[in-house]
Amino acid sequence: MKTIPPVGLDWLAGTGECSEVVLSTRVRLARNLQGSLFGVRDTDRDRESVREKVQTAIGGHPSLVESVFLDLNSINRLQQRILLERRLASSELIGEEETGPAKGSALILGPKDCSSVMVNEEDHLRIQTMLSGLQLKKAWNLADEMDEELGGVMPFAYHNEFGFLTSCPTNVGSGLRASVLVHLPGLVLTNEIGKVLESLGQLGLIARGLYGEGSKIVGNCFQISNQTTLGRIEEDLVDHLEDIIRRVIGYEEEAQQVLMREDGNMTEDKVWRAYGTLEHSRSLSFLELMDLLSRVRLGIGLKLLPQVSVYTLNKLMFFTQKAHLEEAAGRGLTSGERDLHRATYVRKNFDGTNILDGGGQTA
Amino acid sequence: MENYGLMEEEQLVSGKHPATMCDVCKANKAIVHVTQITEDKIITSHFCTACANSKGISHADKSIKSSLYHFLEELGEETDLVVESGTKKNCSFCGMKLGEFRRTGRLGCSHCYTDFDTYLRKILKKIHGSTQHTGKVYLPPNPNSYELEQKMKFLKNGMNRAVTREEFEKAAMLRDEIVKMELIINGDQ
Repeated sequence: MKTIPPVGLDWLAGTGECSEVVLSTRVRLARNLQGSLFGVRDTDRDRESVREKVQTAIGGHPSLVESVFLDLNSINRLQQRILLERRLASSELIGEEETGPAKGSALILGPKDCSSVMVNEEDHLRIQTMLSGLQLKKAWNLADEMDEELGGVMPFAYHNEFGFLTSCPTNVGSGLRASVLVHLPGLVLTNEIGKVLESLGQLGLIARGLYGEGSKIVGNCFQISNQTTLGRIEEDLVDHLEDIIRRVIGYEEEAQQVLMREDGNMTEDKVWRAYGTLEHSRSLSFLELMDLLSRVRLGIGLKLLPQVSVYTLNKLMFFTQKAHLEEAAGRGLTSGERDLHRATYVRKNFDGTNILDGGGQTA
Repeated sequence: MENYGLMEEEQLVSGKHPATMCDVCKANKAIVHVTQITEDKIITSHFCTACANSKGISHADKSIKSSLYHFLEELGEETDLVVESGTKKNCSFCGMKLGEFRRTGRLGCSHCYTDFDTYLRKILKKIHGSTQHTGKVYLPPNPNSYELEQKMKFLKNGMNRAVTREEFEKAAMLRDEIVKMELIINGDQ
């Protein structure tokens, strides 16, 4: 069985700027190979041929040869789901439960731990970089670097006026989507979130729930990204997003101060109750865990829990996802069993010793 | 649609729009999502497996694609397509129909951008407010002199921009790239 390299875990560290509010930053570039049909029109043969072209090109490249080329059909379903939970593969790439990934679906992992490329997703290539906290410029520079290397060894579909051509015209031009995952409990609890999200739309940005468009608010987390990709240079798209995110962080901090000023005792009570529940629960659903983690994260922002690290919270959120729990258990788990395993994992990693070891940084 | 979230509960993982219910029966969660681009807006429809099947869309990945075609083509024939003169109805390279694109929101190949040029310009203007890419200029393997020239222009603009913004490290990096490009261009002559 192939082993999956530890790519896509960098963001857990909670080391980037503003990491109490910003969980992670991601930049992706959509690219297609010149002369090959796009996903909607291609056959298994076309997809295999795209995969072969990409694999050959990176195999002969001095700096890309270090990366791992993973044919998704060569790994088992659990590993595919692990990649999905790590946000390296999309649900489209790993395919439906019954059918698995379509022919030619692949991932390039590395050469850097924060970079990866989906092969044969909606576009032939989806280059992505993911970093901890707010690091938009760095994420863009790394994606740009990867793009230069790949584009230098295989010809991309490019148009002098429209720029990089993509399967969906909403991505054409730069093909760039920069997203920031933010945790905004203050704005949700003070009912200010609606206003903020609405104004993002007017600024050419889009906010979604943790699970994407139309999904419920989970754990007070939102992903904010640029909506347009054509007509502005990449640095401007990224700078604009960063500028707005910094303002949103400012509003969130104000809202948190309002919570403390107007109902400090109750806010503190909510934070500590969540802390206690995490420490002592015997069964935890994912949604309950997300809610508890949100309150504890708020406690970090308010400096009520100075000994808890962002890293610990990120880890609790990440390793208690379904496929990760099953991997740790070494077998499939029913929903009820999962809740038990989840609570056990949380208790083990949320006792005094582990919190204080920090695993790294205290926020 | 970006799938940026952490994944856990089955109901949250199975669909791309996890919390969405089927538009037809409104009882089951939606598994199949169809994006339609009309003159002035983008509409996404959601179907559960049963309703998608009854409309000829099957669950399996590959067959979604093939039967989606027929489904969308049928729909396309029911609505009148206002196709302006100058826009072809089919892509001459991949055979993609303009009606199909309007239903799926996806193009079949890079040639579609040329064949549906007039129509796409209107769409791009609506989505992005522009049709002109101003970002990075692509330099393919074995570039011709026009491509080299365009890349050079872009790098020089970038360098000037970096200097204005006092990003000197970046300006120096771009300067090195420009020097490298000059060597390539001169070597060609």
